[in-house]
Amino acid sequence: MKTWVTRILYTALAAYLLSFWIEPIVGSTTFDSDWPFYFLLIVPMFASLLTWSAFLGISLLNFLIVLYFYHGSIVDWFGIWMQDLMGVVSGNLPNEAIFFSAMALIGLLFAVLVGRTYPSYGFALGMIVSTLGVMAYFDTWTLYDGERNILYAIITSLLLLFVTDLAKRPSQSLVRFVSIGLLLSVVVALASASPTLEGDWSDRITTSFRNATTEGEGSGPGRVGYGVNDEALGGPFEQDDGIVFIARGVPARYWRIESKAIYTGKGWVEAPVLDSNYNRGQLVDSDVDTTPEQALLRFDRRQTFVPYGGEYPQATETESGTEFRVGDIEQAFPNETITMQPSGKIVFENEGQATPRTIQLRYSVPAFSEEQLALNEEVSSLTDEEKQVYLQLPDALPDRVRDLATEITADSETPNEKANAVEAYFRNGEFQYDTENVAQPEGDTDYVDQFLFDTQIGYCDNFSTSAAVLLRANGIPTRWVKGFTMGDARGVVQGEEEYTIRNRHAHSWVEYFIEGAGWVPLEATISFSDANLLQMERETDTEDNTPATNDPQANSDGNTQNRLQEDLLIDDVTTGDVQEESRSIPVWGWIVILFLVAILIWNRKVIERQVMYVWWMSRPLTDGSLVSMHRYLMKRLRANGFKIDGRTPSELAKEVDAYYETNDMTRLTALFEQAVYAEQEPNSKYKEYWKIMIRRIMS
Amino acid sequence: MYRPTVQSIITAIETVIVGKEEVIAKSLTALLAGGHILLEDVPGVGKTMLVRTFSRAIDLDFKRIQFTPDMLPSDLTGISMYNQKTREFEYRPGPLMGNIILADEINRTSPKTQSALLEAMAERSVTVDGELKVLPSPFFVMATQNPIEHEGTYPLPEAQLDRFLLKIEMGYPTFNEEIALLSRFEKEEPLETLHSVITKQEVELMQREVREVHVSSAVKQYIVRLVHESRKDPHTYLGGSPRATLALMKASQAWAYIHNRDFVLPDDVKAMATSVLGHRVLLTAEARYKGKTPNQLIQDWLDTLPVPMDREVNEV
Repeated sequence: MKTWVTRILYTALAAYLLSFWIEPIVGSTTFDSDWPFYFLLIVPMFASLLTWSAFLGISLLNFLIVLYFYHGSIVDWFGIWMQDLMGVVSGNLPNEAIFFSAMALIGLLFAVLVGRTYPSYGFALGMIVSTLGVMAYFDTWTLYDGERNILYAIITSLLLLFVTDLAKRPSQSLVRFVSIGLLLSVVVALASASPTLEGDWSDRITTSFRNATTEGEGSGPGRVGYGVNDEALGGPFEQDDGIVFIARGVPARYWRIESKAIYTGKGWVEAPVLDSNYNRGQLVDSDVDTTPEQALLRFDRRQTFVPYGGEYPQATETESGTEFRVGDIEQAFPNETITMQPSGKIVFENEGQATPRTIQLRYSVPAFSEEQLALNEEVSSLTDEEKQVYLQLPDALPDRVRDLATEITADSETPNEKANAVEAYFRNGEFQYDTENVAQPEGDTDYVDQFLFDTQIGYCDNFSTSAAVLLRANGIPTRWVKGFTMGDARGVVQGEEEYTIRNRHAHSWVEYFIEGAGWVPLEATISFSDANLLQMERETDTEDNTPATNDPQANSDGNTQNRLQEDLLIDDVTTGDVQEESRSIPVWGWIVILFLVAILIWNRKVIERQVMYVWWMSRPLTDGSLVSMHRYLMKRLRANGFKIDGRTPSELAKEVDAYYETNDMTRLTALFEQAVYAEQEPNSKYKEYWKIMIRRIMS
Repeated sequence: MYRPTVQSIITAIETVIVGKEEVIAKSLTALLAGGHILLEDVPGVGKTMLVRTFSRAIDLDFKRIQFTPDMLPSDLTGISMYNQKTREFEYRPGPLMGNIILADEINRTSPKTQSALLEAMAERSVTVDGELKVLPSPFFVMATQNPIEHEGTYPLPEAQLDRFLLKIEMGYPTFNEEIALLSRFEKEEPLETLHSVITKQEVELMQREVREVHVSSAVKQYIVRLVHESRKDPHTYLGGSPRATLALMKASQAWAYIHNRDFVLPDDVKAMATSVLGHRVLLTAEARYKGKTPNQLIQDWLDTLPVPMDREVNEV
């Protein structure tokens, strides 16, 4: 390869590695946009290919241009910069201006390094280690998630090492290209294969709302995620591993965002403003025990919703209506007005309704007692208007749906029993969980009717909507809830559990009303368990929880547990989220793998040499093995730049000996000639000289 | 590292000839391989002197033939003359009846006479008046050819060039060699004082020993590949014949022998390749216009052709 091509490649790879720094570093600052830093870090890298003066000129020009486009005025900026500097001198943390120039300096520094050291293993190695270090650090301690980028970074690292090698020792040999190809394919194969080594969970764990974050009206399958518009449910969707937020300090918990009340026959729309206690910051009856909980949510980017793990977060009445304070009460968001909509959705009243990237959230987690769940009283806490809304069913709902509802709950009396009956109905074996082959109702077809009687294949929206309709048909006030499941466990960070909630964890379930208990969540989707959704008060029962068949409480308790185990047996995915995280390779695992690969690469000669010693020394010297040993020696010599073709062994021996200042090659060659050209018995001394020569060549 | 006997011959010859060790060694190679050599060079570089010294050092019967355009075959082979006394035809041997023949300026004589010489070289016998006369052994022809004169010359046809085992160029001596040459011939004639160091019988023995030198299959492959290369190369109009292959092997054997080895190395083949193939390869007109020479081509082949390093025969 031409030297300048190698050099450009080398620089480009180093620049690409450096660009991995931007996302985590800038993500932890108050900067909104990354783009200025891409220019600040990458342009000087390429400018380093030019002369000193051109390099400095372009870098400076680049800095000023970026500054101009980002800040608007260069002169003003220097004023701010001076202020910042004064602040830093007097002991404050640096502000944006200093940070900006610091990044520019980092860019300049790396550009000088890449330009002046080319080609250098030291630089490549330093670049790789520092990049992976930065990624690993930010991945562990901040919201930044490097799981996907780390693979690109590792592949880039390997390529950078390869190009460095190429620049250091130009050679025509194909072996190097083949080996880098092999290495790359091994890494890629590992990357794609390792999470599925023990089973296929690619699509099944996930669920939920179609077409969310993109909000496009495009055709074709939507992407999974949280979205606002639920007017037309159904149809397949694609999985999306994108991170929505990371929750710290809470156990595995479903995350509620909002509920919807009006079923149109195709989907859900929001209810008109309702005004009862239950819609003013209350989710459960005041008799229900609640446990306060505090969670730290870190969002990948600003969102338009705030998920919460239990009761509505703390609310205070103000003159301007109900105001919610998310975050520390003392150090909340003083400039933000936060309201809760009737659906339970928390909204930041600003332009774009964007939330901060980090929210400290306090709420209470209700735990229902068996008695509370078993209540069967006339609904009186809800207003008539609310009852009407929560029992609403479209006029066009086919009668067979209502008939089925009656049939399912024929043996049940209380709302809780009826809800359990509906849930059990979906687990009768006829229904199937799938995200791909899901129909979307056309024309007059009712979404629920189609699912219950025709397709029986669907994801959470199908199950939850159908459950809601069936419960409403039974006269139980019900609403449809959107949010996220508990997400993937990240393990314990700084003493607290963390969960990663991704787009594919978007989910929907239902809440039905029990007078005296409040809104009780119900997980209707098969292969999901509501263990994390419905908190049951068990402390008092656990002692006498031994199965006593005639004890109705213990019975129902036992049922719950049995059901979970059945789920595990029937469908081994169930709530496998936690297991999944532990099986996929974390960032540190990648670094260890890369480190091992690097050690293998750096020591490949020693390893190969040892293997060759052991291999050849352990077998008797015959004509064939002598020729093979000599071939291997020739291969190594060729790799070291000696010309083999057109050379006789003795010509080569002279050159090799002159190069290494020995005469071992001449001796070895004499023995080789004796064996091959005089066709005599091979002399065992050949091995001795061969070993000496291999050690010399491969050291 | 020559064989001691060979070393003594070379040392002896070098007392007369200055700085022509390679030419001497190659001439000895041809003699021991039972072939003949064609010395091609401008006049005055010591071709004749070399041959005379050679015959003196080896104690062989030396004959010289100066070729002219009017020479007849019988001038070489000898004729039967009528003897008045005995009243019988008597055979008068020609100059071919010697051990070392210097055929000077072989391209000056007519093709008829040339072919008589070449036939004798190949057959090692002549027919005079219907009678077969066997030439003495060893029989070694060193023909010289002057490459610069074309007027009135008859260049040897390709088929006849093939009969010379080696073609050797003498070349001019270096500056120091020429000084040494002047000093050596200043006061005396060194050839006069040269004594033979080896007998005719010993030469015949050595010739037999050369044939015993081992040629491994790897080396045979190398030889054949090299000759095949001369046929495949787009620059050649005519490549080496199987006789060339054979010649290369014999020359390599002799070269290995004088270097005190009883087996042939690829190095021997390389050393002999130019001298053996140089006059047997004809270039295309295009290659000649490009300024290529056969020796250059042969060197190219040697530089690129992999040297076989095992016993298995792999056809390429």
